[in-house]
Amino acid sequence: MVCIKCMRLLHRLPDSGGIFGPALQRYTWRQLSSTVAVKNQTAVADHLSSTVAVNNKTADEGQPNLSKDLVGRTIWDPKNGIIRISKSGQRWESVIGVEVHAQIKSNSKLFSTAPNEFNQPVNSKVAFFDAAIPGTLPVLNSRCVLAGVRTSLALNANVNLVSFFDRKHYFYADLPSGYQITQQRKPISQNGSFTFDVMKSDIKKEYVKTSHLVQIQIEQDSGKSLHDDIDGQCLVDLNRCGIGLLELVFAPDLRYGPEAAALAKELALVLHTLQACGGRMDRGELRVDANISVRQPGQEFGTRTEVKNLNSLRSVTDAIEFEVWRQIAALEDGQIIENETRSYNVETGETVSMRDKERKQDYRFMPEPNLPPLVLDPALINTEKENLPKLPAEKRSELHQKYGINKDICRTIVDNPHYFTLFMECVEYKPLDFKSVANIMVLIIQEYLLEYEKIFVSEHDIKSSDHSVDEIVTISAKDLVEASNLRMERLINHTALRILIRSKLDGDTRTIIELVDEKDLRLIVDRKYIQEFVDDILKSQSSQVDKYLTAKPKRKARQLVPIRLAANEDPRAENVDMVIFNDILMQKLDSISKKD
Amino acid sequence: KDEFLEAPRPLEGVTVAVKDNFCVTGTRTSCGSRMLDNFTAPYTATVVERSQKAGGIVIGKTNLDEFAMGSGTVDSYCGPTKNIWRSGIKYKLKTKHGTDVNDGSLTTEKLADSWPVAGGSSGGTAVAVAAGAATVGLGSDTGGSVRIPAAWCGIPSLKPSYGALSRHGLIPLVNSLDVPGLMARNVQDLQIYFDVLRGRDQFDSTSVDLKDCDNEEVELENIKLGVPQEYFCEGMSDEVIKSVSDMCNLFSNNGVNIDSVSLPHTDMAVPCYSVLNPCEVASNMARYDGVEFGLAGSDTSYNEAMAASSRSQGFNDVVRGRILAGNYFLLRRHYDEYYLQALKVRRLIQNDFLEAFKSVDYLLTPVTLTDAPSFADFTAQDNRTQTAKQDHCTQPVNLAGLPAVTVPICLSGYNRTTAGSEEGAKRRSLPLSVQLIGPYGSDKKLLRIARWIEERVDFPTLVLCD
Repeated sequence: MVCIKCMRLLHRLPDSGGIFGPALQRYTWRQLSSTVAVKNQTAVADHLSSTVAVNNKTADEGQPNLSKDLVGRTIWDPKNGIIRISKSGQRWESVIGVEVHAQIKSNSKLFSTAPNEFNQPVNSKVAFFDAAIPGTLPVLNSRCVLAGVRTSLALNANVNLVSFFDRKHYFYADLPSGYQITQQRKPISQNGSFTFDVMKSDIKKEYVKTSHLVQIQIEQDSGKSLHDDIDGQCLVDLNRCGIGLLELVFAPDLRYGPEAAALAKELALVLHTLQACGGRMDRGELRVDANISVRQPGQEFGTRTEVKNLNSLRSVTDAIEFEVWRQIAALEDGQIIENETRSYNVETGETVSMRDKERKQDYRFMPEPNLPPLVLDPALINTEKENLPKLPAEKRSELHQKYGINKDICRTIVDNPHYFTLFMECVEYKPLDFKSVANIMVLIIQEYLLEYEKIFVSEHDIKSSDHSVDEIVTISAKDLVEASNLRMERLINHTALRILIRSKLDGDTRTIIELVDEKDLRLIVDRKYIQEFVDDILKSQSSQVDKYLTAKPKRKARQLVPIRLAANEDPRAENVDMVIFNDILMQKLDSISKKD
Repeated sequence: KDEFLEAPRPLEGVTVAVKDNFCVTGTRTSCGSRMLDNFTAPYTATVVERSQKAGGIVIGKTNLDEFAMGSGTVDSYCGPTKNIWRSGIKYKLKTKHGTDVNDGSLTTEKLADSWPVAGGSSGGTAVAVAAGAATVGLGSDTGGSVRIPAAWCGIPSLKPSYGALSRHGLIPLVNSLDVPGLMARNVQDLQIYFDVLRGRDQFDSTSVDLKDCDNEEVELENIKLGVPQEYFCEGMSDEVIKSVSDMCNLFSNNGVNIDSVSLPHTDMAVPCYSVLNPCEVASNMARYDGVEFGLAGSDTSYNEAMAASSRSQGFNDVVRGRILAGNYFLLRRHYDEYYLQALKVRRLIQNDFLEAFKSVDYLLTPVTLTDAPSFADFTAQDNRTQTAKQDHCTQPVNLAGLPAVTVPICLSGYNRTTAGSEEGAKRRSLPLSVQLIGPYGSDKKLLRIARWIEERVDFPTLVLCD
């Protein structure tokens, strides 16, 4: 029972952990504990969608007559898609386009030999070029170009056989050269598309969305500035300066914060699958800028603002939603939306205007004279195309179609590459039931991870994992399949299965069979023993048995529940094959009723 | 080391003067600017490293116009550089055979009330090599910065094809035009030095291995020389024109075909350069904000204030002026009109050369408009005017990325303006050179021809007196 409840929650979570690391795992844990809140939201959404249907009719007649419940809500309008209803009852549409900065996973930086490593001592990973020491020149890292090519292919973009690098000038302490090398005139690829699922949210609808990819450009990351408000000092760390970035620019075809978060989440997974980017937002490996404007349905685009540097899925959703409602309120109040850059404050949940210097900045673009045009060999692009790994969407549909796994569980497994690896390894061991294997992963293992705040890593990836040994747990595919098969053969019950899996996750070195024997987990199938158990229950529940016997046929099932609960509370239930128990119980009840 | 005594490397023990815009580990690399007065380079430029690996000994860093912006070496934070010729330093003139030059019309005395400029921006290196302080010298040439001082100081020089020598470690002026340039006391040394330095460098993505460069044979009887008529511009002295025509005679007397050619867009080279140069300067100078290195301005109240004060205190007027102009040209609303237009003009200039090389093999031109002007005359006009004037014959070569060699051929003659005075009793006696321009990658062939010239002219050697 508990498991089914969990499952429902699990697929609903915005982050189901895995590659996104401990910080976000804690976040999902908090979500899990607020079951009640989630339920209430669903109820509200149910209510909303029913009222919307009614309101649409009146709206069509030109008589907007909105229920008070809808004010300040986002609804799904079958005609216009996602629509906002303001406090004054007006209908608005929000237009959102995202730009994603993905740090390229490479050993060294984009143009220098300094290592690309996270969390290193300040200014310890800086080449002379990164510090803009005069006379140094950029040398393009081919690994970064390949990451760009692969990403372009995975997003169905046209790869430009010749692309150029440009300098984008602005003064900032963490930009030592005074310019960023980027691709302004001709980027590495253009015109792609990206398709992703949007999960149920306030608007209670699960759907597939496609966003047009305008272009992908390769550019440098900047350093980091730390402002010390007390001393008035500004400290600069250049470790990040010069790391390769893929900037993916999407068209303004999103309408809702959670859509942008869903895009970012799926993109992180795709980039991770492509080995193009680590995909961890908590490390700043993936950062989202959102361009946001609102308009009344059917009108031209409104003036947009840009909210920069959103570094969690939560921030993406919340910042966009805040900004949309802020703009609606401002416009209805007769104010003008200015084309400006805003930042999002996680503490207050608000967006605030950044200093005006960003507003009408002229970046004085100029071709980068130290880098020849980037010329790609069509043969190389073909090779990359042929060697593209399986993408998450394909993996999900494979799990669903080939192994009959429920779609939500497919999502959980594919969202965590280690789960997917484990599952595919399990397939090699020919489990009796694929669903059971999948369930063990998303229920028993997932529960364990949340409980102990651990990260699951598939057995073969332990050595290459960048997490510390204390953080990670694993289980071999062989053990998992063995345990699953024992359960399918009804030699153990679910409780025993859970114990086995948890023991292995704890690092128990005994084999599954040894564990079953030593922990005495084998199910009791002795009918005589079980018969005694049934008799005892019937005796202790005699009054309930009477109620059962006298109940009308339709009501009988309900009267059976307390009897079963009593049986479950009995310590013997732990080890007894409850299928046989039920069997005997029903026989006994049957025979008693016939006697009567 | 003993091993080097037995098998000496190409530059074993040879002294090298390095222009102070090449980084050399542990030495101050100032670019002649207050901005980098405190900058000690943490790495060595590829061309310097290759010199050292070949046995060369860097004996010093030499003066230049601030960030190589100038053609006189008069705009340096360290002060101007005097030419070795006629600036008051005692020297003798010797013939190739080591005997004293016996020509009563020549003088080695200091110019009246002034001294000749060294030329620039690589003036320091030119003087060091001309004076014999260094056997070979490294300069950088963006619009003539090696060829002009070499011509005025009476030594041969090479401006290689773009990319033939690595720019890694050369503090840039205009990245797309800059090349490290070489100077030596004779052409043979240039040949040796060029072979030591050339070749692809992994730290410079624009560096190349020149394919045709290994074949340096030139059959003089079969080549055709072109003399571009546009190079003889207003303000060019008669004797410079005469020096080129003397060379033409020398060549034709030796069976070389000579023809007049036209490079119609030559006059646009300097205007084109006056846009491209400030644009790249504005961009390249953006890094000098006082944070990582260089002069940190006194106003540290906030980021922008610190950058502004560092830059206004660290750069001279010339640099600041070019930064201002460059940022103006690069503004979105001006980009097409200036920068893009300049790039198109650059292409036209390059096409001029390609067209000319269809009918002739090499070009013979003047280097400068006159012999070395006196400091007083030179500084009577501002940096911009002087650069625009002096770069007329050298600038187009950089825009086209071609190789060029200069060779000194004679000393200048009587000065009309000073005729009759005591000063006018003797010849000006300052060096005059000619320039050879070849197709891309013909660097070594040009050096071959230059050596042929060198063998046939009686250019005296300058020897310092104790």
